[in-house]
Amino acid sequence: MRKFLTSAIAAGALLIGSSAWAHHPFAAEYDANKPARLEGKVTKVEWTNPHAFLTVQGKADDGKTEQWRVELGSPNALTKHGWKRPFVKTGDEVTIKGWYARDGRRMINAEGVKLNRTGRELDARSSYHDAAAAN
Amino acid sequence: MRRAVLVFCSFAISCSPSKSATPPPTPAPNVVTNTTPLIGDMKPIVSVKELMEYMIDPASDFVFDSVKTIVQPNGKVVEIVPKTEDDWKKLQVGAVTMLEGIYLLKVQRPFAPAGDMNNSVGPDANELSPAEIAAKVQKDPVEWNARIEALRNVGLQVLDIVKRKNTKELWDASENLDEACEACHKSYWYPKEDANFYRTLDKRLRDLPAPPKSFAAKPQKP
Repeated sequence: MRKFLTSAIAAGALLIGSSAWAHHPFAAEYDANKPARLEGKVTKVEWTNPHAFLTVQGKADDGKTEQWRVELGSPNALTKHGWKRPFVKTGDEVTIKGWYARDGRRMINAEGVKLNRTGRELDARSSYHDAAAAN
Repeated sequence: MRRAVLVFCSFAISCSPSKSATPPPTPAPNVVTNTTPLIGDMKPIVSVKELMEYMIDPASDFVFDSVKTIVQPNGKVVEIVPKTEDDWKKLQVGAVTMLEGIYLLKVQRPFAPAGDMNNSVGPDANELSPAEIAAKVQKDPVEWNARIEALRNVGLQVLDIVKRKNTKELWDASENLDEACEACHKSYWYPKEDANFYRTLDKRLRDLPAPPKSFAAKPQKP
């Protein structure tokens, strides 16, 4: 029990310390005036709610090769738009289009993900795209 | 829209395990009904925005984080689900905090701390101001309560999953939670992020100048 309480308090402290909400308006986290392009290799795939994520080691618009975290829509939304879990695997080369984070973190809200191997591009259905579909 | 809300409310009420088509003559044990008087006053300390940030959102993360599929750099696929008693306890903490905490939104309180106008002013304003949210709730409190009940129902679903330790239903609960949160936020927080807003964003992406050579996707050998 003590172990659980310690981990729960630690988790709570981490959560409270985080500025990012699980749900957020697009403009709270991302800059509509900063369109982003990123090309690189997928190093991690996370299927989780409310957003799936890719970690991509690659080159963004500034020409530097760095590790980026790419926010996608929810797994459910992605599935509705043609994604299957094996669509992107670690090691795949991808090209991402989307929007940079406002606060300078290496984060991108993806509008689309292109798998360079096949040239196939899928809608990433990030939060902003979900709303567009609903309107 | 009103019809949709009414349908939504009917659904929310019909899904609630604490209610039934024919109400029982006496409340079930441990179920507090609307007619049960409060013991003392309810005095809000924080705004709706703070309540969401410091209670409901962190509690929802216990649910969201309980079920994941991660493909690691070496290609190994790891399925995250609750396994230990501590894992299930953590999920229970999230569910209870969420489903009881959300009822605190029935206690009238400011929608944001004093002086916080949300992102409601300026060229990129896309959120409702606290005053606009208050007016919307006052105009249609039925919708506000239905949104609360919808989240509460997800909390009840998670509690039931914890009781049965049924990991297979956690993805469904997690998706239901996502939908309940997002539907409420789209109605009260950022309804201005509408089709026009996103069409503008899409156009900006389409109008980007041609990518430099380094961005030209080269087909790879499979």
